[in-house]
Amino acid sequence: MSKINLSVKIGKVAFKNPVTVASGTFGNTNEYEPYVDFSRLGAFVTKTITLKKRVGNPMPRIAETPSGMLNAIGLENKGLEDYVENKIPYLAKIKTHLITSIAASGPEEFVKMVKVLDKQKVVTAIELNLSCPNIRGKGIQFAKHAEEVGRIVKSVRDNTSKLLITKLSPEMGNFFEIAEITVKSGTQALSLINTIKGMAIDVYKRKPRISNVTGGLSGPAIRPIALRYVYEVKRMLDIPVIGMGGIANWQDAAEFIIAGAHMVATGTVNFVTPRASMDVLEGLEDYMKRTRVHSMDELRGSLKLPEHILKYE
Amino acid sequence: MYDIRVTVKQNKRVSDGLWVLSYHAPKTVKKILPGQFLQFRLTSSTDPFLRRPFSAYKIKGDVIEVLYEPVGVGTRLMSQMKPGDEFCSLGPLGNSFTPVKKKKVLMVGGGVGAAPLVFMAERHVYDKMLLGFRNKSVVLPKSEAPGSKSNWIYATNDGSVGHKGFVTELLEGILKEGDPKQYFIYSCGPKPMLYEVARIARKYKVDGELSLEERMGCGVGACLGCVVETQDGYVASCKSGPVFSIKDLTLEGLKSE
Ligand SMILES: Cc1cc2nc3c(=O)[nH]c(=O)nc-3n(C[C@H](O)[C@H](O)[C@H](O)COP(=O)(O)OP(=O)(O)OC[C@H]3O[C@@H](n4cnc5c(N)ncnc54)[C@H](O)[C@@H]3O)c2cc1C
Ligand SMILES: Cc1cc2nc3c(=O)[nH]c(=O)nc-3n(C[C@H](O)[C@H](O)[C@H](O)COP(=O)(O)O)c2cc1C
Repeated sequence: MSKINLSVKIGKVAFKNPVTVASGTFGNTNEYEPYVDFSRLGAFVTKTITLKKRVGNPMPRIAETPSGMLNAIGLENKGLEDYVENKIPYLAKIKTHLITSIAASGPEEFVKMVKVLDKQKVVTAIELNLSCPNIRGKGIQFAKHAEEVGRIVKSVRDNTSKLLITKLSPEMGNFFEIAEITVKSGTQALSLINTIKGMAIDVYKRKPRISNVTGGLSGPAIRPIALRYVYEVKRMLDIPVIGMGGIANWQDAAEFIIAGAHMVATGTVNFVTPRASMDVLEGLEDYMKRTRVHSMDELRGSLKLPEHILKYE
Repeated sequence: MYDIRVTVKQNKRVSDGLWVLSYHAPKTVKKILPGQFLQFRLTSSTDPFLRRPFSAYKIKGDVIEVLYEPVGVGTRLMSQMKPGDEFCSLGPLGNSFTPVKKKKVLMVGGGVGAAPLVFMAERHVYDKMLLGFRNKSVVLPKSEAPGSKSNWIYATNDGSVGHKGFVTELLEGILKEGDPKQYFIYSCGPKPMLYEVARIARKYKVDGELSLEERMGCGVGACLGCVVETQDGYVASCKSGPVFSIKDLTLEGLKSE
């Protein structure tokens, strides 16, 4: 049988395969080293960092919910300087592309961060996390307005030659308008989706189950919603998508690719099955062999739509 | 650190409310130390979704035993498991208790928090095992003691076994009597109990270690869902812990939510 070509290209970057991990669900450096050979991943994505250290939210930060979990970690991280000094030396040894996820309070802070990261050779791509739902008050905010998002993406674009990815959440009310403006402002791929706001209550204590009251829902519970966003964005915009949201096995991953995703990421499921990304990769390859698909280009967006849907186009 | 599929060897009650589940894990037993824990995936379905953490309780040859109390969906599922049933065990995870040589060890356990202390007692000498339980139905019987049983002392909230009141009252009683400097404490149990242990340890200037049982997500330091407050700020209790020196923790951080 001829060899299967798992590689995918986004912008000028060739990824060896379409399987990656979701920011914040795979640690910062060596957390999953005992279970996964990182060099087999299409890319390694680190937890969102901010310019300055953030302590994050008080406990409890997570709560289990049906087929998923709520989290309000609050972007705890040690800041950009620590990332460059203490994380990058480890990350540089991983033989795959590195995607660095960042969040900031506005265009100026994003630009400050990007200028530093642009000098880091090992960073292949910068992912703008414009969609963390767990931040309150001043400082970093959930980017809500399309124009503001446009300004952020544009100013970042003007300051780096790295591959630029923007991560969005359905929580952004005018989602499709925002998606479009990020593309117009120069993003080269979209990461879809970040968590969806949810809530759970302990009825005996009559208290919210997480201290932030609301948190981001993730895991298989959100998969159909995530898939729908990937599908609809791909119908509307010509932009590579990194699909995520409840992907737990190769079938789930194949759904996102057939809907049009260039790459797929395992997220919360890593917590349950540390090897999940590898299971997805091996399962996908086997599926392609069995169904005689030779390349990702052949599988991607190959969704067969009913006649009556096509007629409306 | 291994993520392995294992088979239940035995699953039995040791009192009305406490169970011991055992399984073969030849590679894991070679590495695991007292205080370290395992993350169990009890079902291949997504309900319950997350793994459940359990301390190693005893090691017998190639077999790991965990002590547990059915309190929710996961632990109830566990209590229904039969010899031959399969589940996934990830571990050993986290750090372990630091053995001490020149001090007399006082162990202070609350409920299933006794588990890592019994494992410690299996491997190291200790002076007294002080155990607190809600009532008689959940008392860990002396027959579970490795070696001598005479230094196991109980407290129950209702006085149905041993001292009526909190196990921390037993601890304070001992520290009041002798020179506190001769002692070292290992403790594990519910947060309000650990808070008391830490408060008393500070009052009598006794060193010791606490094993924290925070709600956990990943168990490997990735999700940052189980942080505890230390003198240097938040750290993930699954990776930097679950065992912490009492000195490194803040009393404020041990207060219940
Ligand atoms: C490092 C570590 C070691 C542990 N060792 C043991 C052990 O040896 N034996 C044992 O029986 N248990 C141990 N636990 C606790 C055990 O993991 C929980 O009891 C178990 O996860 C509960 O799962 P469940 O599905 O039965 O309960 P759930 O249905 O998830 O919860 C039942 C109730 O307990 C609460 N709850 C669950 N977990 C915690 C927690 N960690 N802290 C406070 N409240 C909680 C929930 O909010 C809910 O109200 C340990 C925990 C940790 C972190
Ligand atoms: C504990 C936790 C922490 C997360 N932290 C981040 C983060 O720092 N940055 C980010 O862009 N997304 C973060 N996410 C969102 C995930 O990257 C992902 O978009 C989302 O969880 C949906 O995928 P999943 O259902 O497969 O987990 C986090 C998710 C979880 C569960």
